[in-house]
Amino acid sequence: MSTTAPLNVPEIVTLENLRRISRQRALGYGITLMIIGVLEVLWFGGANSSLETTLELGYNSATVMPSIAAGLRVVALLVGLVLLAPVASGRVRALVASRLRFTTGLRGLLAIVGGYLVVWPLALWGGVNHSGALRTMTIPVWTTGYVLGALSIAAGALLAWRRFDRSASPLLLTGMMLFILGFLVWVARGSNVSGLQLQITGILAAAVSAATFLIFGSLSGTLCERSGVVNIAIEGQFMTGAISSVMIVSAMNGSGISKLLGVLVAGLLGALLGWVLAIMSLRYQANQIIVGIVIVAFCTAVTQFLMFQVLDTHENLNGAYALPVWAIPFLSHVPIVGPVLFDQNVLVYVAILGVIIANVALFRTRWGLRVRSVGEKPIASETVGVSVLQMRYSAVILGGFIAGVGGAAFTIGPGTNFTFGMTSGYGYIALAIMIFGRWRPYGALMASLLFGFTIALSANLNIYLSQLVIPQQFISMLPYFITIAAVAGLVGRIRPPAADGVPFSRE
Amino acid sequence: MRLELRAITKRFGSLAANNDVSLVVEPGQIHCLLGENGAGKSTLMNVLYGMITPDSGQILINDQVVTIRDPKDAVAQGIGMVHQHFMLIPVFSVADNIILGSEPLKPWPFIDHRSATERIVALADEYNFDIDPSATIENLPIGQQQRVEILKALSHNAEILILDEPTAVLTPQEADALMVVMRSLKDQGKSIIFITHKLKEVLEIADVITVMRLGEVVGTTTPEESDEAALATMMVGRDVSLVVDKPPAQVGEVVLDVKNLFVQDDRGLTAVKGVSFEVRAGEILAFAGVQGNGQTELVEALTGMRAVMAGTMELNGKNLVGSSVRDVLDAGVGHVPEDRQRHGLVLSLSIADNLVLDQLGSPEYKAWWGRKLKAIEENGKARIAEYDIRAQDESEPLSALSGGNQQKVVMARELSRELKVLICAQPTRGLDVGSIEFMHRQIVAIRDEGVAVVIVSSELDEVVALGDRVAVLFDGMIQDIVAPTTSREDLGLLMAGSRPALNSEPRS
Amino acid sequence: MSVDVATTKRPPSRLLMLAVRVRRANMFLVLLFALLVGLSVGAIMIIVTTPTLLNSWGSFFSHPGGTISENFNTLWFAYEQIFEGSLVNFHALRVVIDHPSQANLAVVLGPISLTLQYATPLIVAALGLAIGFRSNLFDIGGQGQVIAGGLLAGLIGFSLHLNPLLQISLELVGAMVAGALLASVAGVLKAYTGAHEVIVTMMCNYIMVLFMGYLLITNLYARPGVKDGASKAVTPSGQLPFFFSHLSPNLLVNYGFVIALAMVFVVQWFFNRSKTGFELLMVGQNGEAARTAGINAKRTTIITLCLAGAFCGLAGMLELTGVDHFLSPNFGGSYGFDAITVALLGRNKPWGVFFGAIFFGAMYAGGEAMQAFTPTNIQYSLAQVIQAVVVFCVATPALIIEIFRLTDNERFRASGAAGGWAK
Repeated sequence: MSTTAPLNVPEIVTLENLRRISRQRALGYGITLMIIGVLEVLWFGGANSSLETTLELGYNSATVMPSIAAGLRVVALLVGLVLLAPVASGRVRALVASRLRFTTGLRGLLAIVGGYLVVWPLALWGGVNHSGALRTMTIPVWTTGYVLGALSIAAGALLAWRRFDRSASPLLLTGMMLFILGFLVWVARGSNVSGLQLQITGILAAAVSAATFLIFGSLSGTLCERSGVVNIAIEGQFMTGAISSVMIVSAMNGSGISKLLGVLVAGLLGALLGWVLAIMSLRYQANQIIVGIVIVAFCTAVTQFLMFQVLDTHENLNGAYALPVWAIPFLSHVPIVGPVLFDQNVLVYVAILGVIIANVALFRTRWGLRVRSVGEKPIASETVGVSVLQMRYSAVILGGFIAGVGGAAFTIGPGTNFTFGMTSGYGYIALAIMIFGRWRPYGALMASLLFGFTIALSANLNIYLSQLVIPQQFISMLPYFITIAAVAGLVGRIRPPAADGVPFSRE
Repeated sequence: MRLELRAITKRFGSLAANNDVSLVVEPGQIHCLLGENGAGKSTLMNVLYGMITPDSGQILINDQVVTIRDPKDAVAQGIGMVHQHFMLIPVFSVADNIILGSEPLKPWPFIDHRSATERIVALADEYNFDIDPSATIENLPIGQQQRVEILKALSHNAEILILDEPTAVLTPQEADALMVVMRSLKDQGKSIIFITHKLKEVLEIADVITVMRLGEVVGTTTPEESDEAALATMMVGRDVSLVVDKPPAQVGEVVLDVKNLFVQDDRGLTAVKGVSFEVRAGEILAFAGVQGNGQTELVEALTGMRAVMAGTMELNGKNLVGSSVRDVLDAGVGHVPEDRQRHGLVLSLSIADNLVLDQLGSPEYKAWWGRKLKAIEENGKARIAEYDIRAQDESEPLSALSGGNQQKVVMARELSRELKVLICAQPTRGLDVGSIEFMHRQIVAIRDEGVAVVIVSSELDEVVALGDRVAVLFDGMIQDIVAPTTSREDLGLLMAGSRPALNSEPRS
Repeated sequence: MSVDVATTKRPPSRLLMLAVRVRRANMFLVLLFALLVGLSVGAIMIIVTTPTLLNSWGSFFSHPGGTISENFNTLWFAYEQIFEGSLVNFHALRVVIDHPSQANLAVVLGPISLTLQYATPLIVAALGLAIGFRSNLFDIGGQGQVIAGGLLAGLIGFSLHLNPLLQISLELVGAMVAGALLASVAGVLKAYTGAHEVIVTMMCNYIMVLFMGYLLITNLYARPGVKDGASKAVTPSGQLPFFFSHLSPNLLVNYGFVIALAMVFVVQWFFNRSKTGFELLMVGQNGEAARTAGINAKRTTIITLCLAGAFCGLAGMLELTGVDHFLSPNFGGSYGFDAITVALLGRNKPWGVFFGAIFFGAMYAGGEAMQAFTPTNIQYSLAQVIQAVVVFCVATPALIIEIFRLTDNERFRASGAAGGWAK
């Protein structure tokens, strides 16, 4: 009998493979950045040198940066520099390290606070203040193009040359955001004359506003799918929440308590729909996607019926009542960030709080551990006495509640009345965001903000229609295209919870 | 703790999985539950663990009747179970897996990770386990995962530990280590119910042996009173010869020639690392090895289902690398997949349809106007008769068949094509003895027709019985290709990755 | 005689057996109960949203009879309108029996013709989606694909003046290609990146709506001199001819219905006899096994979605050239969801889809009649509520089986995992 000896082949080092791939990625990203830079120089930098753009940095007295005396400016500048020092230099960090542990969060905080304390006085000295407060800023278009382009090319070249793997994605993302900023500056060119200021704060605030329901929706999706149930009915929960909250608040003439009640009822109806989804998919083990789709169909029909049958004839039931807007003292004066993050309606704060709570709940508590276990391998949870169905019910119903509250963010959040079809597919986009955010609450938050930005962008570019090369419809398609790109995994491969969408039976 | 099962009966439809089964486990005893696949051992244990509700019968603990409705009750009664397929969550850490279900809380609802870790470390020390509580399960080797399972059961203060086929996934050496662990548990006063169908292990470790067959207890004995032959007879109800009756191979030309094959697994890690072998017409090359050493990926690569990173595969000199599954099948490769229900069959379709599953496009079953339903039906009838498939008729959905008959359908389908190579992965997994013998006869018969056969099996007995040559896989590499007469100890060492001095085999 | 006694001594359970058999869940029973539940939910919706009816419940304890009769009369009238508006108007039937004339016959046939006219595109679109569902691919992009089909068919329709047969064939092929192309995006992404088709097709809907909105204001499509977003009209040679136009211009059944009927047969052949159809089924039931059997799952996925898209595109063409003859910004409207629900209602079987679509058509026709004739103008979207509830019950028969204490039947167990997102 013949025997063959195995060939002595050196083992392939898988880590090396991984490195090679990621280095290739860094190269690709770097080249992309450089192309973006060239584009910026040619496109925006090619604008007529006389054209300037006025940026609006704050839109009311609660959100503009107050002007301060020259002496205080110096103090602010110095404090800012001191705060920035440990961020920039490792040596300074080592000096202070005996007292403080420099976590990423602390460094980020120092960078932000210090940065503002430096930029603020510089901006005031630079004379961009307007009637005593930092309200608008006028910049030449072509310079912007050249500056952004040069930055982008430099960063791209560095990335392509040194192949920094870990900073590749953030760099590319920043580059793209700057490109969009440049594009906006270019679109609003001549606004110092026309008076059509580039409402950068307005757009960003609208982005956060639009992100609100996306945060709720993707959070709902995250909770449900972490437990192993695909909640495709978010769209339906949105609709229900939107119409019910507006009806409740309007019926009670927008009194304070009615708004609380409106949000609660919106959530409870969403929870009810979640319960239906849970019953169908858990007890009867029906296909979760079919059940979800049918729930959406049902909600569409019911809201349409209510809209035409009731709201059209009783317009007092469909009023425009807004939830209170809270301007957080001091913070709301920070330029750009202030009005965007700290001068919003209550639901925005609730959403962000919700993300934090959900993150803690999922990753720190008993409930979260059990929910995640049920979504990964339900049979294993069952063998240690965790009730799979109970966990899934709780997650899906809670998810439904969150999505229902998200529905309220369509209507009584910003204070608009209900129109049929106003959810326009954001329930599905929320699911894409959940994937984009890798089934994590913070990921969902970040991705929601990104999507909210594209939505706000496509909605706000209308005023510059005459200067736009692209028809408005195509700009409105942007969020949808980005969603497709997101689910197509252009962001890299992701692993969903293993038991996602799989019905569970013990035997 | 004394455990008694009294007259447990559980039926699935007309099949009695357990019929009037009684069993007594004394404290500090290692009680072996011996039986073939499908004898009802796992059903019985799932009843005990609350995963299955019995139709009738009682469970007594310390002579008190207890009701066990779900695993929670079982755990509360001090019963722990290590399942055959580990009940661990691959993406969780060891600590999270162990505390799941009984999480220590610092003020509600937060998990107290620190005290959990401390407890696990203490427990691991107590039983001499070397385990890092923060490691992620999917990165641990199988043996370690099993220890985590045992630790999990112990952390729930289990007094009785059920080990369901624990050695199936282990190398002989790892299995020996497990025996040591079992003995030390026994010394601490724990009772162990040890489920297996491997006679040697039973005789080595058991205090009491209960043999089950077809859902009933056929007898209880001890290692002293019994021997392998007697146990085997009890287990299958008649004398069995595990030796396959086969004439010497009439070896022909090289049919399948694989050189330096590299294949990745789903996670992107290299699972097959430079495998080279050749199979000649009329011989059986059997791959031995513990599961998870690249067998699955190797078979998938050979059948075109998985991309090949590097290396060559030639069938009669024709390149197979980069071919689609269809091309590979058309080239004359038969494939009996590892998991017949997942890969081999569509359970909701009829037997007749399943018998032509990979021949849909052949002119025999398809004309320009569509599928020839009549021909498919007739083929179904013919195969059912030829292979003695127990079914009402060819239109019955496959889900109605037993495992053995399902495997016969797969085999019948593959053998109905013109083959040059037959690749069988775990051809007899989960089958009863009768079906195993049938499969083995079929495989030998096709070999004698001049087909090159590749068998991949984690059952060492099967590999040795069927193979004309035995290739041992470890960590994605062929350790050696040896004669089936090689001693089990040496095979075991090869499977564990070490290379014994095999003076009997010349090596080039 | 003793033999006779033995035979006449029937088992006493004969009636019982019948009862048991009746209770066994079957399609008919489930549908019947589903309709019952749907109508009940619709009734509740009517009562809750009609102030007079709601107020009548205030006097329920003093005049229970009055309350019940008032509610019942309103509901009965509403549902009667749905029935008469969609199937047959009994009053008109009496008239035509008394005075047989073409005009009167046309009035009788009116409701059915309206029903069939609504049903025609739905049949085709739902058939397409049923192809996807059988393969566990949820193409919910019916709306977008209908629009795609309509856009290309429209372009061919209003820019050419050919022989009618040739032009209609061109439109048909064009629409199918357009729909298939759009759906192939989802197919390719699903096959090669694992992007879930539900999200991709849904997004394609919104993109197509916007795209159509853009096209309708370009010179290519916009009707000259009109700014309301209506497109040019399809030339007469490109319009599907009506069947009964000689009877009355109001009878809108056109040859599209024949095409739809033909498609039912085509799909039936496809499912039962074709190799690709069988492969689709295999991939849907057990994708891994299909792959092992040498079926290229990626190719199958793409083909499935293309077929689904082609059918939806065809539906768009039928809608455009058969009924409206021009595009408007809300062309394609609720087709996406209606087609899904019809496919679910028909349990993905060609004839089931056919009758499901006719049921939907009837609900639309009847819903409009109800809105027009009921005193409180109950909105036609009530019909959609009823549809949704019916579909809900049919999609999860276990619910009906449990509510009405039917005996369980294996066949009606809802099946299958929804599948994860990434693969």
